[in-house]
Amino acid sequence: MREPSAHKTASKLLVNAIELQTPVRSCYAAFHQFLIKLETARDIVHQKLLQRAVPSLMTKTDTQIDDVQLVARLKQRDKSALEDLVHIHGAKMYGVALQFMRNEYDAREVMQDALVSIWNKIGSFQGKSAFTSWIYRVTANAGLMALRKKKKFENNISLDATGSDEDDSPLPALQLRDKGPLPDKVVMTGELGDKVREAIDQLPEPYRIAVLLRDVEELPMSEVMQETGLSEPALKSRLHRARLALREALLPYLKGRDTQKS
Amino acid sequence: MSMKQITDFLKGILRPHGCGKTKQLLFEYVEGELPAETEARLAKHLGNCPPCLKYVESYRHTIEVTHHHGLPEEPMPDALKQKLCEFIRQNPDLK
Repeated sequence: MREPSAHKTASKLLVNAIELQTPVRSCYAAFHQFLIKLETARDIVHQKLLQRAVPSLMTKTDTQIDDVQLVARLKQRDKSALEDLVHIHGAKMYGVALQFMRNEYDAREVMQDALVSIWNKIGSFQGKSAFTSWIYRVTANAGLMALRKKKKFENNISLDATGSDEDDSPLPALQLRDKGPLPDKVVMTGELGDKVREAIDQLPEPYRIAVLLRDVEELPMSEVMQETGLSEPALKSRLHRARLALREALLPYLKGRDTQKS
Repeated sequence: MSMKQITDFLKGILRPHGCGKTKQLLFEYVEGELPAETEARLAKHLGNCPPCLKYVESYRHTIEVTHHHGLPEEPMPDALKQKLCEFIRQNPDLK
């Protein structure tokens, strides 16, 4: 068990700090160090208990265990953990960044911003949600900020060409390149994914952002409202209109799935 | 057949499906935000109205496929991975 030794080390630091009459700030730093060690110890104990309790499930929880270690290392300010994070979760982060920015150069900037945010905010990660969801959310936020910086978002927010958020009229039809092969074959060959991304890409920017945050990233409505600065009715209207436009465009490719699903 | 059943049947003929309501309530229904009573009423309607059911299902499928396929599946270029690692090593903000 590492907890007692971490406790001992931290206690020693505190005693030394007090005996030497060091400033309050140093005592606080020692206490902070103690808390970090305690958290690491807790994560390691948790991981060991998990290994002991469910050895047969180890293969299923490998990623989670990696994440527990990653979080612990990041909290210890181990910079190499950030590099490991790029190797383990970089691909999905890249996907999120690319979907927001639509080009590799801007996506790279977003990933860099996201990495800095992860580094700075890791202390606030409580483990209430999965670590992966948290890092993708941070990446999505970085994407949104980057779009704001580029004023793409601001310029499109008036929605002159597409009506206001109170307007329930449908969005202009999304034009997918061609109808492609038969729906069943589309599903089989994975072309459905291309059609979905193409349709999302064609949505006017504010609608695309709403769909990316809510339906792709599955952020709670409250969080999307916070990120976009939209009121609840405005967000609902925007999301609904975007979904209807996507549905309309994707309908030929969804037909094959209707019978299986319902 | 009770009087109520006859009335419901006639209402069904005069206002086939009550479908306007389905469209109105679609978003809240899919988001699970409807009051229990309204949700039950709409669910009952969907049970009796295949076009509305199909409409709701296709709306749901759209959300599903958007979630599953919304992100590009392109692999992250190795060069980008390297650049990010260099960024991590050299960035003074990451202390």
